[in-house]
Amino acid sequence: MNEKHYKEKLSGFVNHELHGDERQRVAEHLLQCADCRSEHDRIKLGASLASHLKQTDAPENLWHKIEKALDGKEEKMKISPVPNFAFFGSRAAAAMIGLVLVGGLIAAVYFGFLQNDSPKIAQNENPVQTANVETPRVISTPNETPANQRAATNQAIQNLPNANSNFQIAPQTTNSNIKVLPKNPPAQPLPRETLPAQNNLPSWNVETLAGMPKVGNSFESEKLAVGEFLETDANSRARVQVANIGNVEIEPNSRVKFVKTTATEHRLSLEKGELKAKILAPPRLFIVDTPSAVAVDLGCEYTLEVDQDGNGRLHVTSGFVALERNGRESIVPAGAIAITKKGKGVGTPFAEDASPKFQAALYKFDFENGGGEALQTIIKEAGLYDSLTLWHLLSRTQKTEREIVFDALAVQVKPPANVTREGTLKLDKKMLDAWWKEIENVWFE
Amino acid sequence: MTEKRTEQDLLAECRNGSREAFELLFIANQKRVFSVALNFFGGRRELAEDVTQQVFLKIFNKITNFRGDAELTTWIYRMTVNACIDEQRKTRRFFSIENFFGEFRTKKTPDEKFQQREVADEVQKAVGELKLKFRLPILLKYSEGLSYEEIAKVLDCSIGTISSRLNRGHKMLAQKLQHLKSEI
Repeated sequence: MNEKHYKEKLSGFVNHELHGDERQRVAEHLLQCADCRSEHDRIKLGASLASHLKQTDAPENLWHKIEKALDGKEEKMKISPVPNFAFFGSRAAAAMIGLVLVGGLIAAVYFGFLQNDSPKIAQNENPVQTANVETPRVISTPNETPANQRAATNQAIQNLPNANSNFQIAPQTTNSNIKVLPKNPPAQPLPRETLPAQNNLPSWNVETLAGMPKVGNSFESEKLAVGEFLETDANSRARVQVANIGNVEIEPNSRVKFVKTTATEHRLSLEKGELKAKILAPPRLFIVDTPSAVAVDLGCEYTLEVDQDGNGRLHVTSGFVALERNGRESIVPAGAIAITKKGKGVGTPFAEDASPKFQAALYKFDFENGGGEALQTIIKEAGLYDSLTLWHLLSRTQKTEREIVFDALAVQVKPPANVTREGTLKLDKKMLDAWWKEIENVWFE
Repeated sequence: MTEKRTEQDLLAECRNGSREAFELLFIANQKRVFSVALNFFGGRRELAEDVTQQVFLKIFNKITNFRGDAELTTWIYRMTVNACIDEQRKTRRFFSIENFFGEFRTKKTPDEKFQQREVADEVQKAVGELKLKFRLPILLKYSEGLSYEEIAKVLDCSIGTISSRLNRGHKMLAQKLQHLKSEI
């Protein structure tokens, strides 16, 4: 049946932005289409939630602050023959002073608390330590918004040591080669937050958030040492300070092992339960093992869950995370989810608001040998933001199916000029990466 | 008609540097500017206050450039949105340090931590975490009550784009806040 759906019109319908015939057509369609009705219900729930946003008055003293600022400006204008220039000058001077002060403050915070956190500082401050260390890698990871993402990435890349000497853009072992790999990456000194515990092993601070989490063998310890477990019961939660790069909240009914902390790698193992990670660090510095995959932080915030059977679910809320197992890698950006299954590995990432049908079909495809039938449903249900999934599926399908995926992806996000059908079907890495960049732009636009 | 003239008069007085007229302009629009900023930053008042101050200083500075091609409120919303985006870019680098380490160093009691947030606060926070392109239409629609057409003018894109972004923004909110379903 070639029925027309109205999914794109549903927010307009819910918000009474459709008029006359169009509104009636959508209403009639909703009566007979369960798919659109389910979509409508989700949008309506979102609209009901959003309607709790309210207007708020600015603080009462704000006008006085503004007046004060205006007075300052006018004062400057009086003594300058060119008012606008004078105003600009004063602002520029203020900005310069501000920059110096803020710079000083940041430097103080940075050197005081972070201690050479970035590769650039690490290299400049401790050139000797740059040899013989593991390789932190950088993915071109836009942040939460495209501009910010790219700005942050550019900033990160600029912060890296001179590309001519130490860095190359090189393929990974897995399906993406968009990473920047330092050949001789800078080492990072062990941060002071990583303190030696009484047994002389490095340890991280633990803060109890609720109940009585068990840290090592104690219910009172505030230090988790390498090799120790942190366990929470149904009523307890804890926050672990991950060296100097962020923190991880351990939710109830969880068991986490502190595996390793070095200048180039901080590693936990989540055996069961849930953790929420907030990490501010060069990519690949923080890693979490689970029974079904390895989550590699690429500078982000995320929630990772592991059930009793060792199956996992990763939900990224900021930045990117790479999920890896047996040479297969899923790049999961903010706003996306990926499932992992013990014994079967890493699932294909999908948008957090992908339709239930799409998600179910993807699960069948990834873990239940869903094959062509599941793929057909995936293709049929795919929308613009499912291009993330389709791109990953290019390398997870064989010849005929890959052609179908190619066509479906091309409908959603046009391949760039230098990406050919033939090359993509042969999984040419340069072409896959070029197309990925287009998809990233759509995703984070 | 009279209202229009009053606004024009007010603008003319502002252009002539009348502080009193500018204060009236502030009083009439402070809620719009502050609300957009507050919801944009997920309820972070200090950022919203900074942005509001910046926006009104900018308005004062640029009021002579406002030729009335767009509605005054559209112009103000546009400036507010741009100021929010600029502020987010500026603060992003520094925010994390405070967020990660400040939060850790300031111990909270379990009671404080587990205090039930009101639905409105949770919604505000969740909206503040949406991607920019979904966040802006949502807050302009629901906090400010703008129509799709007005939102399209503020954000300088088509009504179709706004409709599509709201579609997705609604679904993201529903997904993020599923646990509040029974409370609304």
